[in-house]
Amino acid sequence: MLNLEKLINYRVMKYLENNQMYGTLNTFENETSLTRLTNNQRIERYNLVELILFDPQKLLDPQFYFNSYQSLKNWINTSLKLFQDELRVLLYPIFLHCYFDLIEKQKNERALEFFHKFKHDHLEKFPTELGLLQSITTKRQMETNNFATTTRSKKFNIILSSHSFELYFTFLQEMELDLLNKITYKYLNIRVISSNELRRYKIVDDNDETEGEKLALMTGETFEEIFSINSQKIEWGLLKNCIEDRVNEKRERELFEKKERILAITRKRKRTKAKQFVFQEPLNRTNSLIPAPKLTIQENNRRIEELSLSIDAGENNLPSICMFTLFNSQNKVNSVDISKDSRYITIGCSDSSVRYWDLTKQLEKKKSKKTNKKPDFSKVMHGHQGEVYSVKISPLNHSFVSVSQDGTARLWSFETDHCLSIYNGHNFPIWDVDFSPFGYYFVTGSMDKTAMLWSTDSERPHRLFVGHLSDVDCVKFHPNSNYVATGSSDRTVRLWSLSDGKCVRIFADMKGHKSGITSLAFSPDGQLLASGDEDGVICLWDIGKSMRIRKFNSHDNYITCMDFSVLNGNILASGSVDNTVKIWNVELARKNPIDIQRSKILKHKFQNVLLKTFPTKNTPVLHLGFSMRNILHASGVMTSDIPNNQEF
Amino acid sequence: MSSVPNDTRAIKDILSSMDVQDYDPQVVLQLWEFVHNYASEVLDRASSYAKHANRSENINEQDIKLAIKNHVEMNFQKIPPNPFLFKLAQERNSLPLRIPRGKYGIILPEDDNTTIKPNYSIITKPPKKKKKSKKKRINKTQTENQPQQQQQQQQQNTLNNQNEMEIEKDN
Repeated sequence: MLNLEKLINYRVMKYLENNQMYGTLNTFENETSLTRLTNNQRIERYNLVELILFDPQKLLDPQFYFNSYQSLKNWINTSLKLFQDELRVLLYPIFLHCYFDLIEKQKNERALEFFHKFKHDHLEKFPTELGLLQSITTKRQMETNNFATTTRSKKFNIILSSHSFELYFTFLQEMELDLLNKITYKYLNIRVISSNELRRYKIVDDNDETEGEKLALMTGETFEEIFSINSQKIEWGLLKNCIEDRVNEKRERELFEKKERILAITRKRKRTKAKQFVFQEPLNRTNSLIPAPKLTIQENNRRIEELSLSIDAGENNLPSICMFTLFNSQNKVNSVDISKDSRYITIGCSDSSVRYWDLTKQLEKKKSKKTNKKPDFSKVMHGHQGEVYSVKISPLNHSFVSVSQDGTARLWSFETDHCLSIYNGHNFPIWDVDFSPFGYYFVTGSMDKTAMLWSTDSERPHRLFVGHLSDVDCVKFHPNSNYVATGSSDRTVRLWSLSDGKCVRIFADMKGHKSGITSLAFSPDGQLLASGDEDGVICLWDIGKSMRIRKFNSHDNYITCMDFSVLNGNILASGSVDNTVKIWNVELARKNPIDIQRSKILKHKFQNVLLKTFPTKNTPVLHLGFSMRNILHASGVMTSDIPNNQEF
Repeated sequence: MSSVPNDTRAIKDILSSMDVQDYDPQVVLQLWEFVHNYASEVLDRASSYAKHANRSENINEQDIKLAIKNHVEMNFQKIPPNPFLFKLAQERNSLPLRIPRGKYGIILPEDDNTTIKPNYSIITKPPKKKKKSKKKRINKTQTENQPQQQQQQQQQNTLNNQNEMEIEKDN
């Protein structure tokens, strides 16, 4: 008891001393008949609250930041390899917040010194973030800069095993690195899990030597929030009475009838009854949650017919690729789209114009006398006031929408060759647009960190999808048109429900994407979502279970486009700026969502998920899409190696 | 060495501090022009504020802050912060989705919001009264053209009526 009282008194004295209330301190000393403790005598610290209250003088000394960071770095580099990978993740957030702390305390020159001394540790993993940091040098800039305010208000989510967590905190206690303790408490959200659970997180990455590579990730939500969002039940199945069902029914019926014909011969003898054909609709079929005009019967039948004529693509039956190359358009064409029935090709250009080709029309025009070659039918349309970043043809084939740097989306008609309607909502450049598989609705993703849902008859957006911490780079509709996926520069992919605009899934994995997401694709059965990023890494996510099942790591550069093959989705095609189209075996990936133990055993039997690589001649692939008949359309712009300055 | 003016050296320093190594020489000139425009506009407005405050053009820090806040910051639009966006989103997302305005084909917004609304109206002259004297002047050679003329007049009349109706619609 006495000890406790003494301790309390000592703490009060320390507090008074720190706040320079010497008058009260003297009277307090006299009344409690205790003397002030000198610096050599130390009191044990029991909890963190005290630490924050009694902020000792030495914390204000910028040299302390240097020393703490350096000692942490040294300690991590000398710890056991087992824990090194996990602990190294902590280094970047601590570096970031030390820098911000120094600037907040207005020690600008020391902050700059700190930055330049330790930036090399993080240069290869966080180049864009470091560039942003360099531009923030004063306290006032910190208050107005977006990046600074988000990082200071949100916490980093980090997963540590119980061993590494204990090691880390005992290290901080022993070395009395109160500063780092404070930063950890304030800005990091550490979740401790047992080593068994951790093994589940270690999903082996294909062709990835640096297996343990993890990057600290910030999503804006805590672990608990992410978990609750991701455990929501979502109906990821296709709509009832969808064309895929009709086509499968048709095929199964044909097979059944074939078998019946063969069995009919034996049946005559045995006099058994003929079986009836019953089509089993898969159980996960759902209803549409949003009001939308239905497809006409003709359109429906046309689609069923086209789809039933498609040739299934698979491991043994690679799809044929039809590549359209654009010439004389280097640095001019931003986006290409080809309609599913292979009739229209539209491009969006950096000079704000939009152009489309009608591939059927050229057959009707007369041959020109000089070259004996039929001219292509194309039409250029102007209207946008900034570069056009993305175009998308409506699945109903009568119009297409384009989005641009001026923050507007425009609807253009194929029949009348001019702009029908303008959609104003974003104040910042719009990076991507996607149409719903049934037309009518489309979603735009913009630099203002939001995605908006529009319909062709709306003057204002219907839904605002807010949640990303950085601009939304790509958007994609789910095949059942009830959900939209958005990928952003904050390295996360989110799934939104159209009916209430809420986020239903957050796909953020420390070992997932290490740079911004640039392309998305849904499998035709709605179960899988593929996301590609700026480094060429493709992650395959299971939407229902909200977990990553595979990682395809073969491309060298920016992935511009991806698409799953039609009907069964056994093939994923990905196109990239590294001038290749790669074909991946999704069927195999589905069967083997592997974990570390299995792969070690089956490594010799490990078949490669990458089926084939198709290199193009210096043509980065801008668009990939499987047509209704399962032929892969590809499109790219032929680029030359001559740099810009020397072009004639 | 000192042939490079101070301003360009300052801008080159800024560029190198932002880690930009590769740039066209034009960029330095463009940035300099931009800085000049920005600074002169701010100072202009600040001096007018100082005048208003009867300080006779001795510009204060307050004047400059006010000038920046009122005029120049509007040109550099910042991305709205997430809490603000969340509020907007909550408002908009709580409204149920509208039923489509049509069933088939391209469904467009009301005429006022599309680019296909006619941006013209037709001015017509009032219909001419048929003067009997004019008819008498017509020569016999032109009698063949008469029925045609009459037809044309009739067509014009009907057209005029239609135009009148259209004008009424516009109004």
